[in-house]
Amino acid sequence: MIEVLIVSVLVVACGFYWLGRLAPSVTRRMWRGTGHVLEAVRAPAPMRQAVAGRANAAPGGGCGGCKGCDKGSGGCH
Amino acid sequence: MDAMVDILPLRAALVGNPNCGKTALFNQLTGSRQKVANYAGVTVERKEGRLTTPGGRPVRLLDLPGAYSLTATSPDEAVTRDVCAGRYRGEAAPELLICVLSATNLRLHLRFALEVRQLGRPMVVVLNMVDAARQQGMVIDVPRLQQELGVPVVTAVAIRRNGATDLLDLLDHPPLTGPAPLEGNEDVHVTVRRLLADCVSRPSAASEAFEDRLDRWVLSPVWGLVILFALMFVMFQAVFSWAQPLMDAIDGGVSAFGEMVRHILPDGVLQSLIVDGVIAGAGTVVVFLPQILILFLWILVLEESGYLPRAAFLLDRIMAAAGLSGRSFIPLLSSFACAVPGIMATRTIQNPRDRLITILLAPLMTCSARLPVYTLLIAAFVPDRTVGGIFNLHGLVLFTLYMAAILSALAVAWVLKRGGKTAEHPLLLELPAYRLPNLRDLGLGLWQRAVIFLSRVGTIIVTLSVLLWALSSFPAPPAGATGPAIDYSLAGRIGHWMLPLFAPIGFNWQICVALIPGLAAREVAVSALATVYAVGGTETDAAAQLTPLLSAQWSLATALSLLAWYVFAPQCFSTLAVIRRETGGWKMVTITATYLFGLAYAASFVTWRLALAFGGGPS
Repeated sequence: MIEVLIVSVLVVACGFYWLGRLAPSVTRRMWRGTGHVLEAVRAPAPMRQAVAGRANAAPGGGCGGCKGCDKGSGGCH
Repeated sequence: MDAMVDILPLRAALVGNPNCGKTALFNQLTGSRQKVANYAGVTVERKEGRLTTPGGRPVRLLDLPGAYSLTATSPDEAVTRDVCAGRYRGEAAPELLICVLSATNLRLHLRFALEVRQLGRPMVVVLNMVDAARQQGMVIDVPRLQQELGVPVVTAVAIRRNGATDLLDLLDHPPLTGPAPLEGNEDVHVTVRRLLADCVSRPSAASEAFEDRLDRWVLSPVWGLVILFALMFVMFQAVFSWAQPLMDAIDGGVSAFGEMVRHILPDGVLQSLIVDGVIAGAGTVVVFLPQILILFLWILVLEESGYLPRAAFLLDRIMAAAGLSGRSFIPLLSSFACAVPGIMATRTIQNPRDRLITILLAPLMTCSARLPVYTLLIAAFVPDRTVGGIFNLHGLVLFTLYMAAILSALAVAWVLKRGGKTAEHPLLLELPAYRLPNLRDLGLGLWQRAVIFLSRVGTIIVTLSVLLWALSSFPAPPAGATGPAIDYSLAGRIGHWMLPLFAPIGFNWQICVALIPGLAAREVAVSALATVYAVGGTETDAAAQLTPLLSAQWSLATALSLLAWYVFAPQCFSTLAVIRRETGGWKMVTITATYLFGLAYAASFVTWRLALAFGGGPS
């Protein structure tokens, strides 16, 4: 049962990662919703801040959601 | 109020001719690692960095694309013109212009400095590469030049540690007002000649002889091409020969890791996910790291040495025959690493039609992401033997694939150019001095490529492998099912559903499944194949056994057809996204995707049919 739970979490996390890459506006809305829930249940401040950071994250300046050229490395995706 | 001025960062911008070392200086001052190379047109966008001077003054530094004049003729030069003039949207005019000149090419670069000076904004002049000028025997009277220009002049060696200390000291007390206009109404060319005569002692002819002698061979229409093809040929031989021991070592490590995990975790869904999904998927791609690094080592050495613009000059006639200008060479060459920076580099092309055609051609260049697919199939289907006693057959086939892409691009350019007449833009190219590649820069460049590749494996490939494992494992087969479990999974069904479209070009359903995640990035197809075969088969170590597995299960015709597909197919979201950004709409994206997928399908169909006709079909 625990194995199934771990696998499910991993698969959902990977799906969420790709949703964020392909449709970042959708994931930002989801993070915003999560932020409201955390506010309502008075979750710890660091958790709320982390979620707020993701909800308000600016889209990458690069292409295809890539942030390579935003960083100092100058690496292209 | 004065205190406020001291706290607010000084807005400074690096301007200058292409290839004068602005980005190297930017990296030196800000600690960034933006791409530098020994040719013009590497920087096509404004970059921003921050630094603090020795006196504690914060500076916001902009690195602008190189420009020959403030009268812009290409999109990248327009950025520089607009920022300098304070017309760039969302960007206030810089408080200080740092005009970088290459000390080895003052005749050209002083002209731009005089043009910037006419803007009347506070400016300083940095004489970069003074070490190279000294080696050439040049003596520059810096105080005299400063006096003549009427602005502060400092020297720098941007690629050397602490090579810009004079500039840093100057930034503590920058000039607050612009220079007074030059007296008289002298022509800029006359002024440059006068400045050179007054401030610079020219080198003797003998010290220039070596570069000239080298150029006589390298730029020769016959020997130059022989040297170029020999370099490319050796490069692809090296990709296979040098990388093999390292690849075997990584392969062994991945297999051992997979076995270890298999023994640690109990049989079940988690073990299957980790071993068949993550390790089989990511492990098969990680193996190709040495080959990618060797390819980039060659590219970096050629970039740093100053050879690439000479290759552009050499190929200009061939490219002109196909209707392309030599200006397309650098963007197309960048696309061998990755089409994304290649497409961005088309901003240096003045003619809009030439630029669009180069954008259409860039995805045809063989980017490094194709290398894992090519290598996998070549290793599986091409015998590992030498030809003529010295040439590795694998390297020879890889060279042929790269040449096929180049010839296809020339053919496509020729067809596209027939559609309309364009104004002729002759190639005017600045040939940089030859330079011995700096080992630290090479190491840094390779490190960056390794980090980029491994982070792609750690993000894109691992996550897609996990998702593909889930699609290949669920739903489970119904009770009493007799076929392989993967046939009942979602991935199996999608693969079989796509098969009628791809069967005419020789693809099986496993390839069809791999093509879908392969749209994210080409190398994902390799990890996807490993995952599909690992989940669907009985092999205990699909990561290590993918090559023999493919050679046993596929026909030569199928492998050749897939190779032909990957020469043309635009299987890269990032490339399509950057085309949309650079062209400002979906029209060019649609055109690119349609013509490249059409070309890929047609090439695979012809290859498949020809291979069948010559006996390469299933036995």
